[in-house]
Amino acid sequence: MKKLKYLFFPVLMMIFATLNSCENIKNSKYITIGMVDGWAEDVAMTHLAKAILDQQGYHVIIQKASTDMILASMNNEDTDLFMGVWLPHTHAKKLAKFPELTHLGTSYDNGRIGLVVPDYVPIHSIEQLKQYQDQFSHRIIGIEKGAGLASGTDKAIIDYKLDYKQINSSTIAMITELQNAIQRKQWIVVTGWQPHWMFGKMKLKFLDDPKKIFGEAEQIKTYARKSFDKDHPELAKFFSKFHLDDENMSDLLIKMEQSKNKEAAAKEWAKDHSELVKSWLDKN
Amino acid sequence: MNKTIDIGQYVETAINWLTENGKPVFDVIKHIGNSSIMGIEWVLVNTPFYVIILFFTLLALWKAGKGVAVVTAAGLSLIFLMGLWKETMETLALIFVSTLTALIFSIPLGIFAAKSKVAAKIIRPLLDLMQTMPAFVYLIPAVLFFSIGKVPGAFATIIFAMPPAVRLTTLGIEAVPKDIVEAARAFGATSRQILFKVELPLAMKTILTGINQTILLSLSMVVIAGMIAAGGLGEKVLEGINNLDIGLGFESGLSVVILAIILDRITQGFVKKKQ
Repeated sequence: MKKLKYLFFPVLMMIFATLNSCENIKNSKYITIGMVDGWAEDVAMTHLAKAILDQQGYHVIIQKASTDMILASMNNEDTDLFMGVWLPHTHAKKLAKFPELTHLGTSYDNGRIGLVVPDYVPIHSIEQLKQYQDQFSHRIIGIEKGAGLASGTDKAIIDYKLDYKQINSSTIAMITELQNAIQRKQWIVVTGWQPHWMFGKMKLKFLDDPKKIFGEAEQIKTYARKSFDKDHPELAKFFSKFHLDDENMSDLLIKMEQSKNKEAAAKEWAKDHSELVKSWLDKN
Repeated sequence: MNKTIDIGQYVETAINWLTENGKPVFDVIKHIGNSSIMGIEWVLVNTPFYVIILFFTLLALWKAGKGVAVVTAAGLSLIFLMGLWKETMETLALIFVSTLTALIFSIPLGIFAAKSKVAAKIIRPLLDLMQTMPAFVYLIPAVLFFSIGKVPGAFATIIFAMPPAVRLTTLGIEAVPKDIVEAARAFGATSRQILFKVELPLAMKTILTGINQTILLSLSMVVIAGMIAAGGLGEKVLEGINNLDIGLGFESGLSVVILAIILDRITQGFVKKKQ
């Protein structure tokens, strides 16, 4: 009897292994989308896509990880999609490591990255940071070390000859720091990007970047694993059409930010914009 | 800072070579790992919550006494009422598979290190490395080998949680009084009989302590594994952190603590019963 007890779990595992291998995941209705938690626009678009595709009878599984990990996972053909690739600038280096990934479409055109200050700070250009380095206590509050935006900021510090240190921790720590500074009306400069709900919540402005270190407008693109468009031509079509203009994007972001339940908010938004969603799902 | 020695480059080359050439092997491991974790998860999620609470409460009552049983029932009910039941079961499945796999490797290694001086000399520094290397570092090869998901989470957890079981197994066997082993040998016991009938039973208490430590260490890896889409409570904790949601962060953190206390007390109970 005792021996049987020990055999129970291995046998159970075997049964599940056989059950699982019976279905071929690649061509099934299961779609995995990688998502970077904390990137508001990526979270919003991924949930929106999930809401729409779940309605169409797919099972969308959201996998939360960091950019590089998602790209590596797609390269292994294990994650299907990632909707948060910023080009031509922010993620160019990261993407170059994985040449096999395929580009499906552009979901947003007016992305922007750079240095951001609250609107009560009376400067308008990165070059002016030099004169006011004491007010900013020589600090630029950054996001995760290793992010495209963080390396861009390091380059800006060198190219503009700024006597500043970039403090890297995490996106959310940066936003917390920014909120605290705004409450006390202190001077602060952070690394930021648009679209993001922080621009809706706080009065902020980008600093001009005459040397174009942070590039011009960034596009947000959807990338997929190598053979995704062969396995799911109809979905490749959908993601090539998936596109939000400024108004829709900021509306979606604010709705997502206000709601506790992201899935419900995304479903709601898809229902309110059924015309737009229908045009994405159009087979032609 | 100029690099004069570039160790990282060699590590990277080795990892890349493994990624390129080990794909079939990793795919098999990934498949087995995924199906076993998913299978156990499926069982835990689909069993009605009160059955699982009852099971753990009875286990606690049997092994650790009334007090722990009350704490177990209350703690698990609280998790259920906070709406984190599914995530807790996912975490439990991940811990179960990771711990089991870690033990399959670590107990033989521990015996081996106790029996052979040379093996001990090699294994000990390896264990030091596994325990002190920042856990985040394991995530990189884990993702390259197994993509994101539950398996790399388990992989990183296994590496991190193995050492105490190995160390304590070695310790337990080395602490078996030499005269007992001698006596057994004098009665004509083979080495195998000595190991299974004398040394392991006498070392069992120490080995169980090692298992207890392994379980607790795998729990501490849960949040880090959440960074690579391993799901469960770790993902909820990170969600709380990433959205400045203090409430969610606290609730999921609290669930991890409750789970840790329950698993610790029950396994401690197993150790105490051995005395």
